[in-house]
Amino acid sequence: MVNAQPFFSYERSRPDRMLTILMTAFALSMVFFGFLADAPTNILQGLRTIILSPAGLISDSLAIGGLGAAFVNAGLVMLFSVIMIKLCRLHLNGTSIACLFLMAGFSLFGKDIVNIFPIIIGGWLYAKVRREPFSRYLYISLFGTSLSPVVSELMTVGTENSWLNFIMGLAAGIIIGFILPPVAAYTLGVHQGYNLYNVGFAAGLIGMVLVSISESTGRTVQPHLVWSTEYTIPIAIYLYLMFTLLVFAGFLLNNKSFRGTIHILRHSGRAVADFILLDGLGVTLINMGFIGAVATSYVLLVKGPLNGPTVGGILTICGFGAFGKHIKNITPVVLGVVLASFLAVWDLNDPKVLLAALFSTALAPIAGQFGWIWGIVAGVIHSSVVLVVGTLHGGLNLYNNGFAAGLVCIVLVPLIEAFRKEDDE
Amino acid sequence: MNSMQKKMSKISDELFSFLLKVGATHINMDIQKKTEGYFLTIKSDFLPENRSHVEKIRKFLNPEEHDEGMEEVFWQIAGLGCSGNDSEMHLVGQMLDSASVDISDDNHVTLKLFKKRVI
Repeated sequence: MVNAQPFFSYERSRPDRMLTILMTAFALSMVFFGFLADAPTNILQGLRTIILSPAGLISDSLAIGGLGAAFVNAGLVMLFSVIMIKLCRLHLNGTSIACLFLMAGFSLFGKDIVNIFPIIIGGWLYAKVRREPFSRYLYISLFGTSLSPVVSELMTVGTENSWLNFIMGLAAGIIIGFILPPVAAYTLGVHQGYNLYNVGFAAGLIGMVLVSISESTGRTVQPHLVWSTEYTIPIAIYLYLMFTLLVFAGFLLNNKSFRGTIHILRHSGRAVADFILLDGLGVTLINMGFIGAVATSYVLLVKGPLNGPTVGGILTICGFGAFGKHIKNITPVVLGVVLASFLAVWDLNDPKVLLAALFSTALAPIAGQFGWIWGIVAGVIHSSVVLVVGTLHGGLNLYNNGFAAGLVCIVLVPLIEAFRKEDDE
Repeated sequence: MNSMQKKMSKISDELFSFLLKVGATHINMDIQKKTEGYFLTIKSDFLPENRSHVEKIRKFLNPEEHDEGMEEVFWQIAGLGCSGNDSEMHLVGQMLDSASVDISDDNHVTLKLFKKRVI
């Protein structure tokens, strides 16, 4: 008699199969939501518009192509990423979840199903040159699609010489994907894992170099703002439903209880904090759903809209709920941004400030490792730095907050460690 | 130094930091480089009150699944910053191909670790 394992079986020690199902379901839910929101013909037209439009910060895909097209794009990008991970024979874990939600989230404002490919091809080439399997560099390549606006910027420039533009965009993307792995490996050591968006920091530096070269050739790249405000209610319903389902799934997988959830708070969040491997899938899903809902509520509380960029921020927080973030370490950093708003010239629901609050959670490990006071300080500093550094890369690095967070870490972490009481010898 | 050697250096750094944190006063390390890979043996004492921390690393150094994607992304931070936390041991576990942790009643630990050479 053959013991066949049911397709939906779940082994606590091997969450890969269940995670594959959940992530695929989430991606398909985005596609389904997109088709619920708009007619297929509009979605196709919207997708075409998204692909052919410049994608630098801040380009809300909902405003560019419509709600339906934006969510279909995001769902397809996430689905493609799941397929890539499985083709590379990697098991899904906390790193993968963070990566997948990042891909989905940023596909609502900048990434699309075309402009991500050249960078991934570049990463594949890098692996080939080093004679190593691409699976080693897949995550870096996927994270590295933060510079996909460079591809779009070159491919969509002007209407003449379109084949030349296409080749230039392709070449630029491949070069970026090729040089990113060693740069990202180096920058990780600079901030010691206290910036969860390390590739954002590396991409920011590369973007800065690219923009500098571009300006030397007489071509200026500037950030711009495309921002929708009319889709808040349907998106809120979708997000709260998804996060509730995540929590429910976690509850079921955790032997129908919330036991152990509080233990996740003991982690500082500094890389490598894979909650799935450290605490189990059930507890992690509960954490993800919870902080995703909290992030959504924050946006609504400060009267901000739910649109491409803000949902991107929310999904990033949710995804990193499997890799470093929890309510105890993200709260101080966000609080820092909120406190800074009382002294600053901007409001909490200004687009860039709203995104700063959501993405400042990259610095959650500082709060987790060094305490709430330093977490608040990190948030205060980050809120100002991020508003300025975007011009350095012309808005071409989607993980601008990761770039800013890296700079904050370089200054703050050595200071904190210098003032900490030394352990007795 | 190639990346393999750097990774071994990082693994040693991280484990040394951990052992010093749990109160080691006498640490012996032996590394052998063979055709199939690197064999690292570390013997150390520790303070009795830190026994639970030492026992925890059994789980981290022998993860159920190895993720080479994660290793490649994060290995550079092994040995840096505050050490001895779960996350650091977890990273070391992802960088190793096998590990055995033997803890004696007289508060000594022997770690036998192996990392395959990639040719």
